[in-house]
Amino acid sequence: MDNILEALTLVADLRVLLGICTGTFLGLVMGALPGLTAAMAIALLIPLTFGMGPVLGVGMLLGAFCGAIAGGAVPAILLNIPGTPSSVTTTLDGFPMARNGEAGKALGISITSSFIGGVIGALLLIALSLPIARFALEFGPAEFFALGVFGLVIIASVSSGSMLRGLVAGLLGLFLATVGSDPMTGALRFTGGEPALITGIGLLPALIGLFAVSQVLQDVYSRTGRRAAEAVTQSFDRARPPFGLIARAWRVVASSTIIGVIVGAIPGAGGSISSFISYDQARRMSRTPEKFGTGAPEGLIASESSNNATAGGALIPMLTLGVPGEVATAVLMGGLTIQGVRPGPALFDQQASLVYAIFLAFILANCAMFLIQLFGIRLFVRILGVPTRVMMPLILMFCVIGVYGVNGSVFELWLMLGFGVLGFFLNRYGFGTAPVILGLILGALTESNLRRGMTVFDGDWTAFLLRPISATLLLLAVLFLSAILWQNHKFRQNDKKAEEASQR
Amino acid sequence: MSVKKMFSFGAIALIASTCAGAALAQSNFPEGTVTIIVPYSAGGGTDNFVRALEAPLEEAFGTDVAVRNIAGGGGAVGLTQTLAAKPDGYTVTIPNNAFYTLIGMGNVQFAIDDFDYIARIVTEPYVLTLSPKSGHSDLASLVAASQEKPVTLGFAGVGSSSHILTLAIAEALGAQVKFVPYAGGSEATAAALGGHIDGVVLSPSDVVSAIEGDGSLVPVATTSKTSLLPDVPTFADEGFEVTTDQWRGIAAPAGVPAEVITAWEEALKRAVRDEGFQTAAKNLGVEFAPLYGAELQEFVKTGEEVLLPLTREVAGR
Repeated sequence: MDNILEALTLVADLRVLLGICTGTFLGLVMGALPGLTAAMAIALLIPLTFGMGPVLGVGMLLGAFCGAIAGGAVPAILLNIPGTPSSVTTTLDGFPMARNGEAGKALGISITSSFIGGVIGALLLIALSLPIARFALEFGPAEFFALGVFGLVIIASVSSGSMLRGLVAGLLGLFLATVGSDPMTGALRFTGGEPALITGIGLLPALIGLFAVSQVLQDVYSRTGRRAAEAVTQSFDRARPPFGLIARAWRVVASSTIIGVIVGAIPGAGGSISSFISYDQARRMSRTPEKFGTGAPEGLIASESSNNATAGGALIPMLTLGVPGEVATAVLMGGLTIQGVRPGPALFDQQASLVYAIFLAFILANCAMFLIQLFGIRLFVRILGVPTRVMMPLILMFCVIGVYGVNGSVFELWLMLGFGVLGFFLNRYGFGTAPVILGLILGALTESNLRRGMTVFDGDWTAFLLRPISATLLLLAVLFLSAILWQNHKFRQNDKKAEEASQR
Repeated sequence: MSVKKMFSFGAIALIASTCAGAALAQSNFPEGTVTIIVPYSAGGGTDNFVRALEAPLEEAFGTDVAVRNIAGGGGAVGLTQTLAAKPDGYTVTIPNNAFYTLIGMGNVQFAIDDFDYIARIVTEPYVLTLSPKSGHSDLASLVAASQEKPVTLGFAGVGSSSHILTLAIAEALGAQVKFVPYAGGSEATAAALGGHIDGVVLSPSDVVSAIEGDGSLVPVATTSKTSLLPDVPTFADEGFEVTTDQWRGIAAPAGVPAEVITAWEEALKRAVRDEGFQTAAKNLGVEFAPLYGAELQEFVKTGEEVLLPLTREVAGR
C-alpha cells in the first residue's frame, strides 16, 4: 500500500502529467503518419528523456507507445491507410464506414474502444502479470507453429470477396516471407545479391506500399479515368463517445482485449497478429458475419480494443521477466536501461513504487490518448475535406519519409513503390491486400518455428500434435476451417435453390 | 536556422579554431560535419553506444557529429554504404564481430582490409546461460549430459557472432550441441526461461534481467569478466580457451591519411573521458577497453583468425 501511495506522489506531479500528455500527443501524431510505428516513436523520443528522471521519462515514452498504437486508426478509417501494422484490420470496416458518411461515428467507436481496450489491458497487466507471463513462456516452437497455422485460417475472414482470391493473396504473402536468409542455415534465398534483402522483406515497406501507395495509385487512376470520386456528406452529430454501442458489444470487447493482452505478452509472437485474431473471433461471434468488411462496428471495435490491449500485454514480459514482448517494448526497455532502470523481477523487489508509478503512468497515458483524440475528432474529419490533389502527394511524401526514416535504405523505397503497384493490381482484381500482409507476418513465424521444432524435437513431428497448447490451437484451426467450408457449401446450395425457385 | 542556433554554430567554430591550434596541431581535421553510420536501426546495443558517444565527441571535435542509421541485412547494407564514401575520415562506421561473420557467411562483397580501424572503445563478453529446466547448473554436468543426448543451445540470429561463439564454445568444451537460431536475444532468452532449449549464448545485457527471481536462468561462464555478472567465472577460469568478446569502435573506408587518424584518436581519447559516456557505458553493461594503433591492428587480425574459419564452418553446414 505504501508503495502505491508513493507511486501516486511520484506521478501526481505536474511535470510528469505534462510529460505523459506530450508523449501521448507526439505518439498520436507519429502513429497517424504512415511509416512511423510505435517503436519508431519511442526511439525518436528517447534522446529527449535523457536527464529527465525515470518517472517523467518513462511516462513520456509510455504515452508515445499508447498514442502511436491508437493514432494508427485515424488514417486507417479516413484514408484506408493503416498508420501502423496493428491497424490493418481497422481499415476493413473503418474505411467503409467513413465512405458511408459515418467517419465521425467510426472515429468515435475506434477511440472509445482503444481507450477501453487500453485500460482493461493495463488492469490485466497490474492484476495478472505473473500468471500471464508464466503462460506466455509455455510458447515454444510447437506452440508458435500452431499459432501461425491458426492465424492462416484468418485469411478466410479478411478476404474481401472470393475466398479463393484471398488464398492466392495469402500464399503470395507466404512466398514473400521466404525471401532472405534461411532461418536455420543462413543460406540466402531469392535475394538476388541485394544486401538489404538478407534479413528478408521488411514489414514496413510492404505495409506502406500495399496500403498507402496503392491508394495513391488508385486515386490517380480513377481521376484520369474520368470517374471522379463522389463526395460523401459526413454526419458530424456523432462526435460523442458511443459507450452504449460498445457496451452492447461487450462480448467482442472482452474477447478482443483478452486476445490482445495474451498475444502481446508472448515474446516473439508480434503484436500485429492480435488484431487479426480478434477481428476473426468477432466475425465468428457475430450473428451477421456477412456485414464484416462492409462497415460493421463490431469489426472496428475488435481491431481497436485488441491492438491497444496488446500494449499492456507487451509490457508484461518486459516488467516481470526482463524480456520485451515485441519491437516497441524492446526499444522502450533500451530507453529505460540507459537511464539506469533495469526492468525485470528485481525491479519489483527493489523499486516497487517505481513499478506502480509505471502502471499508473500507463493508465494515465490511455486517458490522455482518449481525451486528446476526442477533442480532435472534428479536426480529423476535416482531413476528408482536403482536396485529393493535395492529399495524395502529401501521403506519398509521408510514406517516403516514414520508410526511409526507419532504415535509411533507398532500396526499401523502391520496394515500397513495387508493393504499391502490386497492391493496386491486387485491389483492382479483388484479391485484397490484407491477406498478403497476414501471410508475410505469419510465414516467418510458422516456418522458423517448424524448422526450430524439428531440430529441438529430433525430427519427431508428433511433438507438434501432442503438446496441449499446440494441439488445442491446431484443433481450433481445423474446426474453424471446416466451419467456413461448411458455411460456403450451404450458401451455395441456398443460392442454387433460390435460383431454381426463381426459374419456376 | 534560428539566430540562436547560428550563434552557437559560430561559437563552436571559434572553439574549433582555437582547438586546432592546440590539440590537433598536425591537421585541420575536421572542418565539417563528421558522419557516423550505424549499420542497425535505432535502439540496439551498437546504436546505444554511438548515442552515448555522440555528444562528447562533438565537444572533442568542435564540429557536428551526425549519426545515421542505415540498417538491413544484419549490418551488410550500412557497411557497404560506408565503403562507398571517400576515405577522408568524415564518414566512419562502428566495427564489431559482425565484420567477420558477414564476410565468413559470404553475405557481403568486402574484406576485412577494406576498412581502416581507428579505435576499439568498448568490449562486451558472451555468456553461456542455462535454462532452469535443463537440470544443469555447471559446465561439467552439461558436457557430460551432452554425450548421451545433445544439448540445445539458442542464440540471436543465424550466422551472427553469438551463433559463431556458440560453435566455438561447443568445440572448446567438447560438448555435443544442437544449434537453435532465434530472431533476436529476447526471443532466445524467453525460450530458455520457458525450458524449450537448454541454454543460450548471448550478451550479459540480454540475460541479466532474467537471472533474478524464481525459476530464473543460470549463467555458467563468460568469455571475459563483466561488471554485470561479477560472480560468474570465465571460460578461462574453468580451463577452456574461449576468450573472444564482442567489441565496438570506429572504422573508416581504407586509405584515411595518417594525420586524420591521429586527429580521430586524440578526439576519441578526450571524448571517452566524459562522465556521461562513462555512466552510459556502465548502465549499458559494456566494459571500457580502449585500444589504438598497432595493438588494435593485432586485435583485429586475431579476431579474423579466430572467427572467420568458424563462420565458414557454419556457412558450410
